Amino acid sequence: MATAANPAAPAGKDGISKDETRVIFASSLGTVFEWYDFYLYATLAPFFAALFFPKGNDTAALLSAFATYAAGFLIRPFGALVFGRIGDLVGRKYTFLVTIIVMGFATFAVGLLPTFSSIGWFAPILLVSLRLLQGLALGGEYGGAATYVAEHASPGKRGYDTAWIQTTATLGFFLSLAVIGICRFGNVMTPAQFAEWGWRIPFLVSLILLIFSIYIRLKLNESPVFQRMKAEGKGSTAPLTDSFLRYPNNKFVLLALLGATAGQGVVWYTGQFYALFFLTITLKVDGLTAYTLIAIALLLGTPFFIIFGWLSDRIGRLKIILAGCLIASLTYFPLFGALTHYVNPALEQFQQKNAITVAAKDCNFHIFVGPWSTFSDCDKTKDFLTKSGLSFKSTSLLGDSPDSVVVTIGDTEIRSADQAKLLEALKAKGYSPSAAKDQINWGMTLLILFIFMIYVTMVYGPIAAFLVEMFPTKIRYTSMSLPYHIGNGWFGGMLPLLATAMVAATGDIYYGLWYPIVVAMITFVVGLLFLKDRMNIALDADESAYR
Amino acid sequence: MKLTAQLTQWMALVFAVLCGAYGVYGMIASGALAEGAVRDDARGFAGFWLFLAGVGVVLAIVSWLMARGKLGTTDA
Repeated sequence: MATAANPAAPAGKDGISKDETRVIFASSLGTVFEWYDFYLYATLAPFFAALFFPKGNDTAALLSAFATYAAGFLIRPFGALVFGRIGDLVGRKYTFLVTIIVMGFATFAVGLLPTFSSIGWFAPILLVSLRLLQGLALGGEYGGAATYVAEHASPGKRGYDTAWIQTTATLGFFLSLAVIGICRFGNVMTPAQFAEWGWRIPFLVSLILLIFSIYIRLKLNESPVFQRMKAEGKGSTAPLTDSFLRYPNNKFVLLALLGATAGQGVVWYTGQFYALFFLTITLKVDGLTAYTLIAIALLLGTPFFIIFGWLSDRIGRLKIILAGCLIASLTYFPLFGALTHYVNPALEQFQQKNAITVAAKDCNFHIFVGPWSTFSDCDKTKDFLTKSGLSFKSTSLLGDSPDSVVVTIGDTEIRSADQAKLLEALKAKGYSPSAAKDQINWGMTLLILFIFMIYVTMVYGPIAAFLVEMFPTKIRYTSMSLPYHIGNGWFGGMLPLLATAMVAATGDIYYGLWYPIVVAMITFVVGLLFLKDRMNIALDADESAYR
Repeated sequence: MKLTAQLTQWMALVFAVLCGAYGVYGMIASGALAEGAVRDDARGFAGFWLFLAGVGVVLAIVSWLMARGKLGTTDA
């Protein structure tokens, strides 16, 4: 039997009605599973490189696996367009029922895919196709869930109620880490078994989650605000045109992107993903330790999504979002510096004592690498130092020099690109290729990762309510979904690739931080100058109230 | 005014151009590889990136049509 949720149902002063609880739970649970599905791929990308591409081209295969990952981000706004339109025309409930079925099917099918050794290049093509379906579904899911919950929320509690939806991305990420962690590190199978067939299990598990989610969502009714709008005949017949080609809605879509979601996206990805990459790639922390640290920070930080959502009902949403962007921009450099200090003090001391200079000729910068790529001695040396987590300065060698590359480490000079010799020289100066666990200051490391998570919760906790309140009911689903997925998916999703490329290009392990800092500052300025809070607006208000 | 609606289509085009350029370069450069198996793998990689470029082009066209209300009658 369907359960009607009534926004006017009695609730305590600061309490929450049973109907609201049911709506929030059903919407959030489904969205957790969708994020879980989406992040499984990200976490398992290195395995996919080996399984879905020919062996012997590790870098090209990994790059291709990440391009497949990027295709999922690329299509998310299309999901917002397609499903947003259906959601504004047909209704919120049925739309996000479809998105979860599409996502569940695509994820389950990934677990059944034959690999490159069975069907050759059809394997990665099928993988891309399923990845596109995943991105499409996710693009439609989030906006639907946020709109649905917001339209059920009691007055003055929109921020608090939608904040539960905001926990789902982090919880989905956590869930994917947990399931993969149990499979890989939980004595369930050997590493070889996981690489051969065990990687399929997390994908196949999603079928159970899918059935559970569909069952719960089928028990929900349509949003009361949407029902009222349809009954009054005020629905849009052309939500795309109304959203993107009609002033001032199109202006608000663009402002929502630049003044809110772009900054939110980079802060979100810096606090969770880039911090993870920085720990493992730069600071040489082993995978299990880094995953555990991030997972603890995620768990400690998650309640703050709700706290900042609740706070946004009292002091406004925009203040919190913009404060998060500003504080993050101003503190990323010192905080990542402190992370190096507390996680790998030996690396910090090594760098302080030993300035590294690479003098070379014929240097090229490679982002795209294939089996046809050729690397000069300079390229190989810089790549080795970057992967070793070391900062270095670059200079040019004179044309008549007999050497192709000269590396200076403190007072030692190595006239060779031989990586074994370089590593030997680095070790002689006190460099360690992995972080010593007994040197890690666990308390301070967790504190810094927790601070990153607080930034994440500041920018992300109130943003669903903020976006929902920017657009009228008839185009809400369509309009709020697009800036969210471009801001979060593109500005945020590109962060690992761009930041890593910036580090490799400059030889400075902190240089990649400029990307989130600049984007977050742009968001702060645009949001401050051009956006206003509408926390008290009635969601069924006339369109003129939104101008 | 059309900037927002066209943003998606431009991003898809950028993706298509990057993947396409990489794929075309790979196709050309792989011809210089001497070993047959390595050359076949290289051509496979290049073909895969061209496929991704095709995905980008399709997405760009679809978004262009959607933004102009030419896909479906209700938005016309």
